[in-house]
Amino acid sequence: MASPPIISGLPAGLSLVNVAAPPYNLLIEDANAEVLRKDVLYRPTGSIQGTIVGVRINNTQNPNAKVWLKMWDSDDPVVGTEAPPVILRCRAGKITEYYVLVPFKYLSYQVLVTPGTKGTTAPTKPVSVCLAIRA
Amino acid sequence: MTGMMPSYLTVGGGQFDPWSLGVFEWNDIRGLPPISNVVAAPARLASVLYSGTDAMVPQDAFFKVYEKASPDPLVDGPDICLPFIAGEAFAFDGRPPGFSMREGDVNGISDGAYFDWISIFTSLNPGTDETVNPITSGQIPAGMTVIPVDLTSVPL
Repeated sequence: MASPPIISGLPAGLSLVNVAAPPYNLLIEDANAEVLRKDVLYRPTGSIQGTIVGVRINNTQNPNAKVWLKMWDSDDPVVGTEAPPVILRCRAGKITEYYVLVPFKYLSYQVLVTPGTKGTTAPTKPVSVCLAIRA
Repeated sequence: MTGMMPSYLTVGGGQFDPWSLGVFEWNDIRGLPPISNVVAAPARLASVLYSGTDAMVPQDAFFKVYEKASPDPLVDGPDICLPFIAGEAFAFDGRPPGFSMREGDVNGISDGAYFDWISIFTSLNPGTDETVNPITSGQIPAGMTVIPVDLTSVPL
């Protein structure tokens, strides 16, 4: 079956405008964010730093485990020792969305079962994460 | 450091009107101890905004939320930690630093995320602040919006 056209025509009186600076232009969809992801993106310093603008954590596969998504502005973080500048909670069996503004140069992340800096234990079941990024 | 609260919200075990949004405002959220028990009853944390200028916050800093009545930043890991950049009164796109959050499950998502308690702390260190390094200069005004957990529990 042929795909429908995206825009087949606008009613009279409406206009279509291209957004010059959309809130985000990259989406990272990770079905196994309980695995440490190192150096996912790298943006050189200066005016083209990347910015995380939205985060969605899906912890519905862990009905008994609260989890925390931790992010490091580092290409090779030491999990459990290196303090993560970003920590975002998601309750057991829940989906949590955050609208944030987090600039980064490097991006590494992992979902773990302890808040704060300490802890290296990942949840037993997969946790999916979606990151909306402007880069 | 005392928030300017509506009459139905009190620090440390108060009740709030379950029909209303709760809005907290502070002129300055720096320093120790953490602002504990902003909300003692369960509530949904919807949004937080904070601000600082070059003169107010000369260093990068971190805003933290704890789901604890009286967190100890020496040992307690924050449930939420987000950075804000030195001098960023209005960071990126003209939006003030801060965040909003929504929570739900496969059946749907609504504004705010459930917390049994809400306490907040700002510091110069990310993560668990094992040396407790509060912001000692400048000023950080902030505001927080919470939503009642269960409107259906209100008798009609």
